Amino acid sequence: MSTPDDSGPTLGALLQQAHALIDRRRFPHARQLLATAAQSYPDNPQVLYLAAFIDYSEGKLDDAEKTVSSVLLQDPEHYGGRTLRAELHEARKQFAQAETVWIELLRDHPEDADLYASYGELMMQTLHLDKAQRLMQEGLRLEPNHPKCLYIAALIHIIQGRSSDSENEHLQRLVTEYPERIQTLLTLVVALSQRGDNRSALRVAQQLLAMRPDSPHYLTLVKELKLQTHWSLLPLYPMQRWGWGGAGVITVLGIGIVHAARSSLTTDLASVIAYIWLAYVVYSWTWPGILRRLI
Amino acid sequence: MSRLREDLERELLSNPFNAELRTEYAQVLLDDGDPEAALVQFELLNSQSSANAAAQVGAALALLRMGRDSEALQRYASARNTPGFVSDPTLEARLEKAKPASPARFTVVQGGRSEKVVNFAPPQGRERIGFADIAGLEDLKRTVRLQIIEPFLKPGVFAKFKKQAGGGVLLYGPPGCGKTMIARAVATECQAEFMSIGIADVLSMWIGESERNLASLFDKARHSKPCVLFFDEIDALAYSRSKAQSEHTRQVVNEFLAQLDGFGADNQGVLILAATNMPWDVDSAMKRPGRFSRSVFVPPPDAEARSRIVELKLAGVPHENIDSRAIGAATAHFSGADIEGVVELAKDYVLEEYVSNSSERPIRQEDLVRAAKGMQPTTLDWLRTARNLVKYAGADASYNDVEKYLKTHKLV
Repeated sequence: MSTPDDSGPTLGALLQQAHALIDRRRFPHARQLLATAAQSYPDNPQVLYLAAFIDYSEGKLDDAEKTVSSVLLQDPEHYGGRTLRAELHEARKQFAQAETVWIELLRDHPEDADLYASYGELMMQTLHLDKAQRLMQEGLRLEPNHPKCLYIAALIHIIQGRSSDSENEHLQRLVTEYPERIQTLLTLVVALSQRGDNRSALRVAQQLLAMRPDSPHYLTLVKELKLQTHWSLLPLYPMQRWGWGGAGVITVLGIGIVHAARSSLTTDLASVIAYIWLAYVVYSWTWPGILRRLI
Repeated sequence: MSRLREDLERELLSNPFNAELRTEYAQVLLDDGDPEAALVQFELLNSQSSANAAAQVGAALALLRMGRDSEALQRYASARNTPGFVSDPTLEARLEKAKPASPARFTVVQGGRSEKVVNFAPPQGRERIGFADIAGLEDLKRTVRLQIIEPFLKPGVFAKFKKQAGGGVLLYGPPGCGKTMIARAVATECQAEFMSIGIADVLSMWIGESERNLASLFDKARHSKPCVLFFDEIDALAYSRSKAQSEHTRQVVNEFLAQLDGFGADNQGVLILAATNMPWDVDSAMKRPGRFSRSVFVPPPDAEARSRIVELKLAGVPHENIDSRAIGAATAHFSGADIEGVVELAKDYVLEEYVSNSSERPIRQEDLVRAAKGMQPTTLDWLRTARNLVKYAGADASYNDVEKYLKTHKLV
């Protein structure tokens, strides 16, 4: 791949340093290094691939797409270029095209757990949960502690709402093997929220935000969980916990109490109860929205 | 797998923040002969609380069982500085044995290669900057003097009051606000040599060489006492291991930690400073006692400093009737670099006029005001991110100064 050059570092060495910089998210610095490499090796697919990867990581999808095309023009079998193309399709919500690329990659690399994880993730996003689950089984057969496979498998378990999370062995393994990974924390937030333990979910989400305070996604997550756990929303707990079912039960119960009060209590007392009920209804409709703005 | 271990795993899943439970689980893993898994748990405890002596000793024991003896001893040595430390007889005995015969561990820095591994610009050629050269920021200067300079110059006084003076200091804040300049001024005030290390000085293209570079830098600093060793963009060198994908990144952090602990080498007389724009990306282990246990927030320059920067940037440039105080007041949250940008933009306005009308005139107040209005302070992005951390993420005490700044400026 590289041509040793007495006057400067080899291509392999430059690429290794670029990798190190990308791993630390020092994209401008890595880009500079790749520009230097490109002067000596302008058509090298690996140099182009890393440049495309930086564009993709910075959300410059069009630039990344162009560079990936150049990579695959130089080397149609380039693994990184092909996976990046699939990810670009996914980023543009071109799921069918992405699936085609993942299938082709799996045909060429049937023993690669990373590919099963990525394809499974796509299937999970498009709610083909059975297929995603089978892909994860295969990925975990190849690599039993593959973090991404464990992450997707744990999420599928939660989405399918099967049994309690203590029986979610994938989540257990994630928590014990990779307790600090972002994926583990994300899965925990989902699991804890689903169980109704929003306070714990909030603490985990805060940990996520502390790791990436510039992430709008984690910020929204924390804000939403702060809202859910705010003391002033305690009277709305049944609705938060059981959704429309909870709201329905509360409505029927409220109307029932007002009716019962009218028939068995004095008019004044019945009116007070009716007003309290009315106030509760108004509060349940308006307060969460106001609080969301305040948080 | 014992029954107890499974039970603990289940309990931990429903209560992931119970430190007692996790410590018990880690201990069970250690007793079950799974030191790797135990180490993961002890590290997690350490990241959740920087002053957990039991977890640090546990991590040292796990490392010892894994055969990583020197790392275990370094870890144990650093745990001794943590409140609540309880000694472990096995490690204590090992440490005692290791002490007399331990030369500097990283003395061989050039490996199999003949050329010099590390090259950085010598400080002699540069102008020395003192606190007198830094305008404004009086509160910060006072903090730096008390927390960094005096303990370095008069360690005896601080020791008498049992005030911890060792370890490095992390300067953090928005970009372009003078962290590097403060570090240089600290070196001058300490009458010490200044060694500034950037990411390019350490990160190498060769496997294992980044670690050797680091060791070499520390070695050089120890031989140049008194010396201020300054790491710029420390977040790149000590990037959080939980976020890193590659093993190489983690190894560099491990080496950095080992060097900071200074096991087998004497870091006395070497003041270690580091600067970062992204303190949240720095590995949490770096902030433990004895390492970068003290953090100093370097805020954007205050109004006085901003007006002084305007005056400095206009020196030698044709200008008339400039009210630098008014410009200072009109550039809230601007960094030093931003103010330089304002002056440059004002120059552009004047030159533009000269090119189109051929009429030469000096820079006036309105040019600067117009330029300031046309620019956004680059610190705002950083301050917004810091706000997320302080307001929503339950940031630890090391961000107290940021919180104070945000509250004073009504940004939170």
